[in-house]
Amino acid sequence: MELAAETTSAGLIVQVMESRIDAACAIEFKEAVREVAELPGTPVILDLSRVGFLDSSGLGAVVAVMKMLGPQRPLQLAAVQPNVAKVLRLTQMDSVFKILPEPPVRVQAAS
Amino acid sequence: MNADQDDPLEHCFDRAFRPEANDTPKPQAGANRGACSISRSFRSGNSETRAALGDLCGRLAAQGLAEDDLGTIELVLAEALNNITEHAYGQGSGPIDVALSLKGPVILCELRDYGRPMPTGDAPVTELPLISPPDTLPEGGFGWHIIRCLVSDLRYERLEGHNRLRMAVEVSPQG
Repeated sequence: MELAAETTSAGLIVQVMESRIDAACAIEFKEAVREVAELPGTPVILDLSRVGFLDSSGLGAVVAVMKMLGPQRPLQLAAVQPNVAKVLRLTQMDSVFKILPEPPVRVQAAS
Repeated sequence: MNADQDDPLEHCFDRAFRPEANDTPKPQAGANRGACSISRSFRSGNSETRAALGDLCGRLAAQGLAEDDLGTIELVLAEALNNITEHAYGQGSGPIDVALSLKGPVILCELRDYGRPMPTGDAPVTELPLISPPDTLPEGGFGWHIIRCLVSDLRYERLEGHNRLRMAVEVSPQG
């Protein structure tokens, strides 16, 4: 599960570099985010521009991440693709997360 | 549409997946185009599900299915396959047969597995779990709700030693 994370003035931007958050990688996803969440920055903005598929396992993992971060460190979703938006809408979880059209800053490519 | 006293959807499934079980097919307006059949048999498991979805949806895409419809069918199949992997087979694994029949405005799906039956004897009709942040944020229980939102028909049966889940998904005309 590859993530690119950067602390910015707009918060901690975490770009998911995988195309799927699903049953096969839900646990890895949670663990990977737990690690990068040690970096400072709030809110935590999950850049989902590369994620074309999220199933209920993936959604559960995103919710778990939100709970792990706690109420003082909100989790926001950015660049949600149509298939992912569909899942959020059907489950009514689109009212739980703040959803941004784009991340406020794009994570710099790792040098 | 033929005024059949039989369940018309059951008729469609039978015709799609077991044509030899039928009498001479009766012509039905709007339903006489050839169907495209796509199937795959594989062993249960998360990475196996990914591979199966890639294969099945890739073949559906080649039939000109719209992006939104491809997303819908992938999601429906993913949720059903995850359920089979996690609940029907649990700690073990076993065979899964998926058959899809794309015919005009509908995709008929039939999934078979040889694992445990549904505990209640039927597919769950679940409401969404209560969502009430920050205290009540569910991490699970969404799968069947998602499936039921997206299918126009769903039937589960326990047959001899296996489960059969049939679903119909409405799609836009293919280009």
